[in-house]
Amino acid sequence: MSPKDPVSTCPECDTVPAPHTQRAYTRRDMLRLCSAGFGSLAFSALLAQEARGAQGERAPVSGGRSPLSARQPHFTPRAKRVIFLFMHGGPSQVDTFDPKPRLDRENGQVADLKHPVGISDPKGKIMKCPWEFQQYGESGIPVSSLFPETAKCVDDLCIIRSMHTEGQSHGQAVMKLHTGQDALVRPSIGSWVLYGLGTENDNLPGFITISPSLDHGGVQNYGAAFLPAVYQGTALGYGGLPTSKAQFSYAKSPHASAAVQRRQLDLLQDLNRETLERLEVESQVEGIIESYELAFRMQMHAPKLVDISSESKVTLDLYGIGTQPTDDFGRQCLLARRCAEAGVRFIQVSHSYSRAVWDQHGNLKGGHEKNAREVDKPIAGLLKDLKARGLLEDTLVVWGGEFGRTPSAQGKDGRDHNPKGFTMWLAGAGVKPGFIYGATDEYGYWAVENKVHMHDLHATILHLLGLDHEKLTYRYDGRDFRLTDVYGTVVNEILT
Amino acid sequence: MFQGKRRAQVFSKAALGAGCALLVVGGLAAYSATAAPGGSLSTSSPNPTPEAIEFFEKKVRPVLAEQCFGCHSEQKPQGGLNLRTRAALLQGGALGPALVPGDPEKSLLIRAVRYHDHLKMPPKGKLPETQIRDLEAWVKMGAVWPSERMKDEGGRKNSAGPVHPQKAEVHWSFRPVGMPGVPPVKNRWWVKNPVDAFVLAELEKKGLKPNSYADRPTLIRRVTFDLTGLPPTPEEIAAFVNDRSPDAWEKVVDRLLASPQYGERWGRHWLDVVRYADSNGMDENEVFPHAWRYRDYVIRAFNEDKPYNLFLKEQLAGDLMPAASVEQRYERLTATGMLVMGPKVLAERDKPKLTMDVVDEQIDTVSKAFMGLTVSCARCHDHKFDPIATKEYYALAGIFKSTTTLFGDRGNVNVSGWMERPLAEPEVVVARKKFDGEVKKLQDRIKKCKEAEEKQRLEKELEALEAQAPPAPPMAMAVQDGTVADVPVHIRGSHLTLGEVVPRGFPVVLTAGSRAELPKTSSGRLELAEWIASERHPLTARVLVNRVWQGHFGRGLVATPNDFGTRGERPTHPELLDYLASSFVAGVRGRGAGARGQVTIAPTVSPERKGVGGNGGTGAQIAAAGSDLRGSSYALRNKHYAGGSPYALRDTHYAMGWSIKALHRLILTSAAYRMSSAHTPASYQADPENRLLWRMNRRRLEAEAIRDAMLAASGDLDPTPGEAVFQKYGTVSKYDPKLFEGRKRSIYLPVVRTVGFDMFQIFDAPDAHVTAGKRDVTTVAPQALFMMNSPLVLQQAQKLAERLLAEPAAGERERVERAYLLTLGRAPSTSEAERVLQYLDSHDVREGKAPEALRREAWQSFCQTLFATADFRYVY
Repeated sequence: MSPKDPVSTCPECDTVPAPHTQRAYTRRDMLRLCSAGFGSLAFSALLAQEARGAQGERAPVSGGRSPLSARQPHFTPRAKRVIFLFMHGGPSQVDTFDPKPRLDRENGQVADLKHPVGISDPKGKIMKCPWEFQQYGESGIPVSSLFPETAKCVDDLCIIRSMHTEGQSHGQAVMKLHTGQDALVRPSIGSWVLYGLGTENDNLPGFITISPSLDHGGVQNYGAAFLPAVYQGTALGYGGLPTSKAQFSYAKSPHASAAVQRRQLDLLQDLNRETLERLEVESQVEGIIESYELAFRMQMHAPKLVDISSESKVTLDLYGIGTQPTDDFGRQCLLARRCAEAGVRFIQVSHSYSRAVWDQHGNLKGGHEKNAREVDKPIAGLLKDLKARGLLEDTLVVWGGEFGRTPSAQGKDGRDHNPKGFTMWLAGAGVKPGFIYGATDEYGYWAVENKVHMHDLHATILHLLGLDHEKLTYRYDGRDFRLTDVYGTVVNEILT
Repeated sequence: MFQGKRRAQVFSKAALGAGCALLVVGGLAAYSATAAPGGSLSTSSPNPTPEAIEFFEKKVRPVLAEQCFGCHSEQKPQGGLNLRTRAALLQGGALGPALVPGDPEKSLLIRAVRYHDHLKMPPKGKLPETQIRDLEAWVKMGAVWPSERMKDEGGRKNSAGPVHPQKAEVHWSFRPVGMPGVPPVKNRWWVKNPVDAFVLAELEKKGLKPNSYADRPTLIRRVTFDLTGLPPTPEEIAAFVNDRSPDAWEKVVDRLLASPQYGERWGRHWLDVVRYADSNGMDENEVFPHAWRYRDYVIRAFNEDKPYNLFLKEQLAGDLMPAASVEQRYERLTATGMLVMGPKVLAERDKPKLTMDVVDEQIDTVSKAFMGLTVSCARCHDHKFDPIATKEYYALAGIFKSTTTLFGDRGNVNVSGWMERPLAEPEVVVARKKFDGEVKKLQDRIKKCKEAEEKQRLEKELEALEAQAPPAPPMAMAVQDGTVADVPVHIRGSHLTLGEVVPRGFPVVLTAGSRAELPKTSSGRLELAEWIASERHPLTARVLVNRVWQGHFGRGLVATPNDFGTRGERPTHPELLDYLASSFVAGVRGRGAGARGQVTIAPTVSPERKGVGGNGGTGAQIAAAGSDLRGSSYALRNKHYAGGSPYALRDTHYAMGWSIKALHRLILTSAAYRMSSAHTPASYQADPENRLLWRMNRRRLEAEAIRDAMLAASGDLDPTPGEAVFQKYGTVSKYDPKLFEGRKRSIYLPVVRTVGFDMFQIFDAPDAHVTAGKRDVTTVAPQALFMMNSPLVLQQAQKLAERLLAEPAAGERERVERAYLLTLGRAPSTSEAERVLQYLDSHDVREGKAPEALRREAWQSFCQTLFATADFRYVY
């Protein structure tokens, strides 16, 4: 920075204090101001003063508070945040966490199976799992050889084998998973969570989705729909872009230095304050002034979130960063941990590379093996790292795809979509570790025992966050909407 | 008795099952132990055992009362099913008997609560397993139900009470539009036209005073953005500020209404309402290469001031309307694109479901856009709040199901295509089809050909053929009538559980009981369109008038523009709304007037009132002015009202003949519109939300206007109309910034669902998957980041700086003033100018750069700052 630069910056974080505070502030004040960085619960800024227009509803929070301010949940939460590991395309349950010996016995036989509507190959023969299952940990839960590393964490997993949902096509099922609706545009679960709880860190977005899929609903899957736009997810990169290149949009200043931009911002804020004086009372202009201060701070903090150079070699190795094929997904998982540490409320990681990678209609063996190798170590790394840092206690990790796959073959060696019975697992805050819940039939096709619908999973996730899914509503078009529509039951049996 | 007989029969059948059932049902030990000895026979007799009754009363009735009676009672039998009596259960609903005593497997009631099939009850969530087991046990025991004497005391309080049609008549928006007289006011000198009298009357009731007029630079900026979405030029500002003629304001309004930019502005508002997009969104984001023709149709319709009733009809049923010319036929086909461009789950493999989803999307859009009604709720159940029954929904659904919207596939049998129709005569279509076939044949031959010489010859042949290609017919997204059929009620919205067939028709509450017979040979869309576009329809005009009002005041008289139902907001000025609505639909316009963009506002004054009051000539003068189609054709000279007596106004009504421009003019020439938005403490205290309109609302510009205003200020805006945005079919999945780089007005940028222009998303442009009656106004950090760091803003700032530096100016201060005029439409205050000059100066102190480069940099930075100010994105 030029010695002539009249602006002082904080020695700790380069943050330049807001101009209206600059003149009178002491060094001590400045330190206090600057320390409100990562993970801070301090709320100095109003991210947004917003006037909800859509249908004339009032903003959920009034009285000058930011709609993103942390809010009291409905009851004591078990989890403060969620990391959702999305396996786009639909991993096969019978090849991962739901072993079915009957498939081995009847391999290659024509089976008289009841198929869901719209299956491509209803005459497909039974196809056994090409991998071996082995029991792991104290719980003795079986995991296939696709996930040898995750298997080592099996005592932390709460495996739901009886998931079912709607949507025979990806788009429907992916949207159902993210928004609870398969045919209409509805807010994403992350938006609902942010709306319900606010954020823990006002210097970062409260809902971050890392390398989101572009297909099958794309932005809708982290969109706010009719909720105020402040609740929409912020994308860090996108599916197909190497995670090492992922950045927040427009967070990079074109200016030579922060001081140059600060000087411009000082001019702007002086002009805005004159406007405010002229208008006398105008919360919108106050909001604009604050939005620039927050943007300036975000610009400082966001790059740090993404910069993993301070992570130790041990940590990088834990996630498989620097080695193939785990580097990319490893980075996603590590970023997820950094977001969790920074107080981001809802974090999504997507294994998709812009398409449904787990969608093995053919070559199940090759495809699933490649996918599993990419994600297995990073997932295990994330679980271990969270645990070591004590974060697993108040972070809920969710793993799964939009649906599972058929036990019968499609074509020679693939499996078709199966929304009627599949596996997802949870780990961390508030869920029973080393636990299996629910079951599919003998073929692993239809969920039959203790069925858990996607709405039930949503209700349970909200419950763990201290939110009652029936009370978390938003009035739109004259109706109170919920993530779970008119459905959903909390799966109490899996809670600790 | 009939019922008794029926019961007896069933009971005897049930008797066999009941005994064994008791043995297998777990969790019932206490009851089975006592009930069994009494014999299974006794439960089937008219005198069931006390134990069985107790079981029913303790375990079954409370569940039914709590979970089922709300929707399945005699007053409100959803799906035709009443669960309040055993007889009714046995009789069942649209799906047949709900109960087979003794056989839970065959009892629909049990299947529904098990949640195994499509029918899942109760809909809000599966019952606890214990309750399901109790119900099963009860059915197995023979479904004991105590005598009718004990008929559910518990149930009554649970029935929330459906909305009865007679109740609906009470709701304001379903009543016929009235023709209220203009109210008397105390401060009559403030009143410029009847609009003001309505506004002032309400203010005076509360002892409030309207704000004084805004200054002229503020006014011209306000009205220019309102009507064109662009800022006024410094020259336009100067002309208005210096115009001392009494109709200076009217001249500005008329100029703007006649400008082609008007249609680009108000067309965009309409595109929000009809969820216009250039791609499908949802799961398969297929682009719509022909959607733009509908967009241009809308812009034209606004610019030509197409009567709104005609505009509406063309969009709903243009394909079924007679046409006076080929061009008109194409125009009307294009208009029906509105029905086709909704988002569809194209890869839905259950095609009957997809068809009904498309129908639902159309009903949702049409009912909200034209009638401000949320009808879609009734797809699954009678509307909870508005008097729309499921049957009525399916009466409408029949109309849309009889219309073809989906067509073919997108090269993958699982992915459906949509209807497009050629805007060309059959010969052209046939010729092109033949040509395409020949090309294909040749290409195939070339592909197969192995001999080099022969291949060359064929390639030449192909070249020659392509050189003579007949023109490809222009295409438009459009519907056509398909197989005409009535649709059965889909119980709980599922096409797998069908109920009774409903004849096609319109919601009863809005038809005043009269039921139109729809033709057997066509879908009924034309009749639907005519019904909605009728001047007697209680909602159509009110909804449109409200949208226009909202466009000028930032908030509608009804704050929920897409919901005029019982859950929507009530109007702040109901009489004004009706006054405008009745004036809007009255009268018929001459054909020529509409086409030339000229409008008559002819107030009709009752003859006996003529000459009454202090300004007797008013009525006649206005009528004369209104009939003058040559010059300022929206002429309604406000000066006549300036000194007008309220008696002269009282019976003044306008006959706008569905002219939106006439409506604009009436609103814009009111005093209410010209009020300043200044903060007035006393009024603010009394009415902080400004519901009564004591001031003009301050409004944030929409995303499109913010972009266009930057381009206009920098001189970079290309004012020519846009064209097609996608040349070819295909899907878009990735955000592509190149799509949004054009320099034309924002309305011509592609509207890509899911991956739309990020600037627009940041500034609250609607999602385009659903109709948007009103946009959000958020103030969030990403907006600030966009203004600080985006290439678009930096580039426009650079261009504006170049423009300013290239223009001759007396000095830097004058240059700063010019920059203010171009961006904010006003001169800077002294302190602002000084602050800016100081900023520009301070740049020079930095080392290592040529002074000229530094100056450019400083100016660019200052211009960016202007774009980033609150003033730039607000109109006051």
